Amino acid sequence: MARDLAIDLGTANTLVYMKGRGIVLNEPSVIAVNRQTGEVLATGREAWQMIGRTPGYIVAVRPLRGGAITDFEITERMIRLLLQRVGVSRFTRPKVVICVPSAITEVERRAVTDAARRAGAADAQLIEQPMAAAIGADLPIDEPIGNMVIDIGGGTSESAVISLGGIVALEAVRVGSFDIDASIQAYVRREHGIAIGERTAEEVKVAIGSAAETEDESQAEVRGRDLMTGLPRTVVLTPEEVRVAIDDTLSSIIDSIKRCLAKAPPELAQDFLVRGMYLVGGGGLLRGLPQRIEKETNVPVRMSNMPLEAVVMGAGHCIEHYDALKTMFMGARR
Amino acid sequence: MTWVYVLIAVVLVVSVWLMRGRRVESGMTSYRKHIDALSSESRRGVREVNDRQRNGRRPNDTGK
Repeated sequence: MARDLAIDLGTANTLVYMKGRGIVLNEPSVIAVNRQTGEVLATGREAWQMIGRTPGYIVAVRPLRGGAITDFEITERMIRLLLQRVGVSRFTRPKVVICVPSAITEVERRAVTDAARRAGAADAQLIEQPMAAAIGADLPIDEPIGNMVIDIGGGTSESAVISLGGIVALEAVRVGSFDIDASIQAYVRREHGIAIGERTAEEVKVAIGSAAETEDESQAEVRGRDLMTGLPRTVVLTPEEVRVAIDDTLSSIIDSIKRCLAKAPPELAQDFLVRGMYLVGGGGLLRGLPQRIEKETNVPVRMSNMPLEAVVMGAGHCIEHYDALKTMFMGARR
Repeated sequence: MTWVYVLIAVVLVVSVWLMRGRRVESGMTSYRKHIDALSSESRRGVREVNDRQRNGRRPNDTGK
């Protein structure tokens, strides 16, 4: 008998929680395929290392963009391989709970559940990421208290107000960490005339990226291809330049948080001033981001203890208490 | 003749089992279960399961 699974199918990373076992898989959501034969060559970390470095006949892609499936067939194969790696076979078909962005359309919702069922799941249910994040971040969402969670992922940023076991207000934008990386790429191209890859842009963000001025800032050397000569060239980027590059992207994320705050009923809004808002997701790890959100909203911001695992832990809790929490799944209420 | 009694017993057991499955919980009961399942004590179990897994074998970590 297969153990039931919870999957955080993120744009950046995929995490799998197995009932009674905990998190058994944490890998980048990347798959490398041979274009000529259609064979899968690598998944996860191995495929991630191939991005931007493959010969013509190999393509290493992220099948999800903005939290949505951009390539149904590739996603299905990736889910199938993931399930195989955690022990699912044609004879052992588990129940699966998958975390998806709340702004997902009906078509996208069906695409995810169909992919999971075809990949070997006996039943596939979906749960909104902010809800799973709030459960995983251990917020007291069972109480009549306003809990606000902000989940900044690779492709989406979602804010939700949760009280008494349900979502009261919700706001989502299809902007996330990858858009921050893309902003850095575009800035370097525009201001320095060199082209850099998405992995390099991510490294710049991790090394010197910040949302607000911080102590002990340093510069970073960036290597890329000169757009005029086509030759390799190195430029030096300052943290100030990176802040300018990513400002618009961060502003759209912060604007969506403000819209969510504005939607909250007054009785719950007053709780935020005391309890603060909880930040989860890899995007929340950007230096100075909690401080900037706090400055722009006048509401304290706290980091979750497990920002990268909160969503899958929340979904894991739903799989452990499947019958009691099945009303929480998307579709169950509609 | 014994097999008839066995058959009746089996039919009764199956009927009772089916009726139990069909019984609809009241809204208040299912809501209470839902809220109880979200309590902090209930969530502690999941953290303990994951801590055991983490201490036993570490899954491959990634950057973002």
